[in-house]
Amino acid sequence: MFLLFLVLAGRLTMGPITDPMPAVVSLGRLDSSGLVEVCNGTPVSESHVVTLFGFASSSSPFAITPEGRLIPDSTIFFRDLGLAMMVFEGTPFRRWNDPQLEPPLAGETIFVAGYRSDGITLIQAHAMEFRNDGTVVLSVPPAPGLMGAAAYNGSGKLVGIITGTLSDSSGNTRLALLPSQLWGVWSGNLVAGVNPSGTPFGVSAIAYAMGDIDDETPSGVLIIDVCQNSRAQACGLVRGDLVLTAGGIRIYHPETLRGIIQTEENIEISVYRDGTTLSLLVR
Amino acid sequence: MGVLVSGIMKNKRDARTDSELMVDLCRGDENAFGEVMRRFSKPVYSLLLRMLGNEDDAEEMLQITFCRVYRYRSNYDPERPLVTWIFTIAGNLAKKEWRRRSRWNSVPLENTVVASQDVDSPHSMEGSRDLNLKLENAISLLPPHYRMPFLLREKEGLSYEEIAEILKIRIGTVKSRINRARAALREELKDVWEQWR
Amino acid sequence: MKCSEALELISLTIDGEADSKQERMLRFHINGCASCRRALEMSRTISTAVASLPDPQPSADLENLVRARLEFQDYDTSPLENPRRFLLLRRAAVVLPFAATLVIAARVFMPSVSPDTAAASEVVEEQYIPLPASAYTRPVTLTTF
Repeated sequence: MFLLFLVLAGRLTMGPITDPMPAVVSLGRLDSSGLVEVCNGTPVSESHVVTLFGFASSSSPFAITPEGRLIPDSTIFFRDLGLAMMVFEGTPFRRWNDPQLEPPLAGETIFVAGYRSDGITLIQAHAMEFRNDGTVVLSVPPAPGLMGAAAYNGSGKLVGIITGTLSDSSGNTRLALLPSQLWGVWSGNLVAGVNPSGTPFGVSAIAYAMGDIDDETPSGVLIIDVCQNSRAQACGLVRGDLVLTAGGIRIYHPETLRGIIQTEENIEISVYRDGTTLSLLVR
Repeated sequence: MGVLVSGIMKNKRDARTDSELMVDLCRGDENAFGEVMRRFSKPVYSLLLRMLGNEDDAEEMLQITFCRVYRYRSNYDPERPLVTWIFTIAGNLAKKEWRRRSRWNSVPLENTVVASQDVDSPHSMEGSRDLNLKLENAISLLPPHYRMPFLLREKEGLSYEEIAEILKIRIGTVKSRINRARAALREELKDVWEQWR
Repeated sequence: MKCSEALELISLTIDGEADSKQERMLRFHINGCASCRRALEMSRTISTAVASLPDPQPSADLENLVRARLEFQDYDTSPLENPRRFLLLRRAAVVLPFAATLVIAARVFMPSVSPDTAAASEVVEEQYIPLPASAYTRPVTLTTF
């Protein structure tokens, strides 16, 4: 196990990696009997690791590195998507991934890497089914060591993180991938230290997945309320609008929309209203 | 043999039979409707919850079930058991819903096997030791068309005839689905069973 | 008797639906078959356990909610089928903004709107937005920014 650390550390490539082995960090937490439960984390910078909400929200998780156990400085939670971002002091991670904002292609080969008790496990799968809320079903059943594992495509780009399993009524269980398309803006803003203050956009919104109400309305971000005299009102948004894309990125969750709106100006958004799609400009 | 949850009246015990309640309701007795809801809400909710998998949808369907009981009250035949009629309504709603849904149910990975290690020696940690939880989980893994007759039999104690009437299937089909449900549960729970004995 | 037949009989026996001849045949098979004996024991245990599983309570104001639905004549439609004309009166995990809460209150306590007046029903529908039914397992929270 330690040898493996040495091998990985020996590569010493700084920056995002491009070889087929995803960068992954082993995380641990102590359970009530003093045993260490492990989970995976996906480093997205030298000091930021994305992992599962359920794991990070418990008592004192830590990163397991060749230098020992590292306690994070702070943790930011994204409860709706089941994620957490652990921030560490200094720059402890030599390899990290750059989350891409494109979803994986149908049938695309996906590599998943995670830590098991006896080493790293690397699995090859393909993107099998795309669900209404943006999650992707992979073609392989779950295996030990894949909680929070990083998923890469063949070009070495991080496409997402494993957040659970999905099973159908015949009992087939497969890995569920949460594409970085859904959380890449959130994590990118945190890494860049973007401070989401400034003039509020002026909306209350909710994630909507096709099929929740009917099978025609596409998935997107449903606008529940628009404040008077706000940027949102100024660009023409009204209650009941469904935001589909912002700045060219397909949106499934308000957090992604928030991340884009608060960091850019003159963003074009496409909105589904009364059966048609409109284009609005946010200044 | 229909097994019912006893309704607890705040003021006085309502001793009317189920059929009498419905007959009175048709005559305009609104209190009878309240009593019907008191008697049947728990078992119907419990079935819907295990069929639909979440509280919000189960609550929704529970309310609609009773709305339909009210609206179609004159369709009810007092010679037949009320429990069968009400469960037929609830069952139809559940059936429509599980057909409408995406066929994938998600389970967060952290609720399944957790790999753990001690620094010195590898050690594998079991999931939850709560047996009831394992049983509920095993039931939730049953395909819906096995799960429903199984629950109607084991939890509500309804007869094969009553179940056949509720689900609009032949008695032979009821028997074989319950049999399959039991086989699936034996398989799913074989590791835990040792602790039960 | 083959084990597959025995397993069917086991199911019938647990349900008290096997006749005496079937019970005899099953007993005979079980005497010589350990795996079916185990299956019988397991199924019996599971049966008792399922029967004693705790039953969760539905919401306490079920009666009021049902009567409210009946009053507005929306009982026919499941919101999951046609929510555009339906307000979801449910235990919301979603935090509703104040405006929407007002709308719900107004809807429940408003004097009954005659469904025959097209103009009136248009006004009512404009006042609320269909909320999504519960997503699969993830909490759906309202984000304000």
